[in-house]
Amino acid sequence: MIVRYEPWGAWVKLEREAALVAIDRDGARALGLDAGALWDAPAGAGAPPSRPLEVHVAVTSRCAAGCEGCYLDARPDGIEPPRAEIERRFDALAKAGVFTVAFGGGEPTLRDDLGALADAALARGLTPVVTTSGLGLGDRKIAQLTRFAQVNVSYDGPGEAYANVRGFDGAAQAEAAIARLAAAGVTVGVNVVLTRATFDHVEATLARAFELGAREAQLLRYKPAGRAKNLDYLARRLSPAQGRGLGALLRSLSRALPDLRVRIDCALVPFLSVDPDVASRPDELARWGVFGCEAGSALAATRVDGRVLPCSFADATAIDVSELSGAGWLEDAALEAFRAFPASPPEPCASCTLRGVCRGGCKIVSRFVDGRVGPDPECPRVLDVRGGGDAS
Amino acid sequence: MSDAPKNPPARDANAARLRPEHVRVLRLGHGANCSSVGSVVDTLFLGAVAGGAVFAAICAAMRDEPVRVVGGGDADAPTAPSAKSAAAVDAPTPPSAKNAAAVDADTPTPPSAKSGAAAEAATEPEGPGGDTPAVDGEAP
Repeated sequence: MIVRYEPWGAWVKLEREAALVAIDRDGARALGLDAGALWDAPAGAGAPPSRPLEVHVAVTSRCAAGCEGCYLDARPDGIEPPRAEIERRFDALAKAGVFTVAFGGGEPTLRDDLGALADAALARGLTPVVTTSGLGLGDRKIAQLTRFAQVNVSYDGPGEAYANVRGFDGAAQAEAAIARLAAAGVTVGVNVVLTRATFDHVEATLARAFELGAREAQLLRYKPAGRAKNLDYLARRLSPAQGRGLGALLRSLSRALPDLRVRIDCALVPFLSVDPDVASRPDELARWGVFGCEAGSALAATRVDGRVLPCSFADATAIDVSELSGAGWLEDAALEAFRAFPASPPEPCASCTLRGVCRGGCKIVSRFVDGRVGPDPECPRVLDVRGGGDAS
Repeated sequence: MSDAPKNPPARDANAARLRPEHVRVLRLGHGANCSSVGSVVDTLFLGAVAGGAVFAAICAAMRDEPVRVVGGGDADAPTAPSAKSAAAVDAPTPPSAKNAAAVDADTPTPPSAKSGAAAEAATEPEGPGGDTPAVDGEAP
């Protein structure tokens, strides 16, 4: 297991089981661990990470798919950093004690050295995972993908559902990719973007993915970034009723697909604030590691030019990835802006039971809709307070 | 009989003291999304008994894995771990003695993934300056 000491204890990434654990000082000492002077001061409550746990690395900005809502605005003539440069970035992540590196882009499989990059990450003690559109996956690319701990294929649903999100019908290719990767022994998941059009068909989408061999599904909130940063976002985002129904949907999925692990992305957490069951158990959510907005905290991202972002949808900070282990990570103003809100949020966040987990919801959405970092304007609780709970 | 040094008895006994209540956060699986961070949510709908079993199994798994310390950063690098922990980490452990001390009779086996095939087992190349832990097939 890989251990990173924190003032309150340690983060521990198991290597034989896919799990990341925060243990307190007593638990760490029980394992024979001792952080020395770092534990001299009182431990305090909570388990915030001092550095990112997970970093999303754009290994290319090339992509030919042309998805309508691409948050990176990836294009066929995008930038592909040299392998040596990516490996230097991995060095920086390892130095900072990052556990997981999520390869993204653009389309990572366009890189001929993708497998070698995965090996480079592994050599540095990082767990490599990757997202792919699954388009154009031949035997060679599949072989490269076997180097990853998990591969997620972007799959918003069969046929029309996929086309509704991405603007072209790539469902068949994505489905073929899921099946071929699973057959090759790769741990496969799917990334499913929730929009107004896809929300009501999620169970069927996940059932299809499971049938093809996917064993995990991550539900993602559609966000106004990149090519999706336009007024069309307002028509595609979840309706208030759908947002309120997320908790019920998750329960339904858990019952209907007990062997498919379901994740939600950070930006979907606010919608749980009005679920009577989930919202009444904030400590359990925290203990099960449900992360709301961890931008600039447990999560960071890097662009193809090496600049650090609080998350993949945010604007770049002033720091380079090499500063992740240094003062830059702690002091950058853009990162601090993301951290400051959860530390002292206004109402209605301040009185929300999920405040500590949600951390104010998606700041990408609040910046787009409200023009500033504030309470997530699409959070059902926020809508209720603002009197727009029924508006679309 | 092996001549390898044994772990100090105190470590084996201490490892048994790692309990679920020491776990502040447990995130299962790797996830593989390159844009936003995901969190498993179906565990929220497990009953208390099933959920507790998962935590107990993770504790058991932690007792059995060798340790590698990373990170620390530049600005807030902790002082080097004490000699005690260095010895505890480096000293090889006779499996039978450690397991007898550390594993309760009722400890469930570590959680198999809510998933299908595990990734192909891979041996991790030697990291910079460190040991080379084997990376088994990772079931999320």
